Amino acid sequence: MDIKEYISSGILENYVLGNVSKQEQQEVECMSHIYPEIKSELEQLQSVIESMAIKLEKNPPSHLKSKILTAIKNEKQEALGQKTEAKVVAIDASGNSKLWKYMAAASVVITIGFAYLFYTSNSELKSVKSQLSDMSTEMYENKSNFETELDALSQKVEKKKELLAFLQHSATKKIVLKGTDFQPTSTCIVYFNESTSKVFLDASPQMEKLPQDKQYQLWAIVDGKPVDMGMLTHDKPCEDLCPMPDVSNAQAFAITVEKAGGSPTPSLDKLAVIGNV
Amino acid sequence: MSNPEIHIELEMVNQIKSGNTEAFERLYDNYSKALFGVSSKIVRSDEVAEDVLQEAFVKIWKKIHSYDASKGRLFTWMLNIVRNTAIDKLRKLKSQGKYEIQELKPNVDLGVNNSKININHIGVKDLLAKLSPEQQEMIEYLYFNGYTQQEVSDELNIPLGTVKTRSRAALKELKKIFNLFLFWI
Repeated sequence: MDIKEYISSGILENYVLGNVSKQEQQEVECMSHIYPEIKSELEQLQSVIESMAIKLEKNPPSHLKSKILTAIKNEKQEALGQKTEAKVVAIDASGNSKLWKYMAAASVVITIGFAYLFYTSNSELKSVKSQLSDMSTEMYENKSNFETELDALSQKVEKKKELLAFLQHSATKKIVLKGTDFQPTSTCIVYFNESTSKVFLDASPQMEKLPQDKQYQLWAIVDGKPVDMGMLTHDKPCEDLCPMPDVSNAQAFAITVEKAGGSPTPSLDKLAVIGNV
Repeated sequence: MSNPEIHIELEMVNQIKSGNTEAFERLYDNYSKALFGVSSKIVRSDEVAEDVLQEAFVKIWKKIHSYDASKGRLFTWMLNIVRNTAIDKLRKLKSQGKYEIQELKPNVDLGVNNSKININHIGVKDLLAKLSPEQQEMIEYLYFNGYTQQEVSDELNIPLGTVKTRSRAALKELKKIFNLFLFWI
């Protein structure tokens, strides 16, 4: 992270002028938390805005103060992550069995109940109203963010649907590749559809971490011969399952340790996991 | 701000957090002038600014628990609340057709229409004159009208890059000016 570059990018100026998206806002706050240089730059810019505000000082009408003080007396402070608890009213139901007593008691309970309901729903309504107005401001800012996020999400959902259809297909087999003497604790799962020839690989296999100059390579065994099925990257390459090349008539799948970039034929002494179809 | 002042401010915030309305009154006394000035500049009407200030102070009271002194100064936090409330009001009134487009043109003047100028601020006007009209325009549009840089670019028909450079230059210049100013008082 080049701090100087970040400072000169102009994002801090936009931040203090209130012209950043919600994401950028969080980013700036996070960065200034980590880097004292950014924090000090930000504080300087903020004092510029503060000084500007002080320069604009103007006496509000004198009646406004008491108006505001009255207004806040009716407003509860919002506790952080706390909700007010409903009161429990205990009713003494013991004693006399005469009907009118029960009825009187019942009517009191009902009256209290309604009053309580009315009171809580009314104050809830008020707080919901003010939350709504806060939310509409936020929504205005978030709208475009949400739209991009929505696009990305619907693409994701489509992919997941495809994946689910593949997994539910009657010809899809789950093949567990088990560790060999070379890597006894390793294991990985391959999903293979014999009728469509599609192959997917578990995106987070439980396999030993390799040095940078080595890579895992997937092989399909077709008629006793190994067929190259591609490399596994060091970083997590895809969510859940990774699509691999199609292959038909595979009898087994195996993963070997090869030099980075892969080999034309598998090093059989470096066989990590194998499983039969 | 010097250390004892920060200390007093923190104590005031803590008192407000515990529901003390007298402390809130002190907060109002300390900041209402500046906040009213900003609000009135944004909405261009003292009457509307009054509503904005009331709404903003109620928000400040309600949300005081979310203010975290380690994340920034109290004044900055309150300024943001007031500015957002005011810009929101401005947009609402604009959408109801209560503001003519012309009225939203910047008046290229940072606070000359102040009724009372605090004695401390004498001389600031001269210093502000050092800001080029283009730079003043940027501050007006971005901070006081709530435009995005893209909107300024569309409105003034200048490239987005120019808007970015100008607004950065404006803030830099303001910083210089205020540093100089703070040095003299």
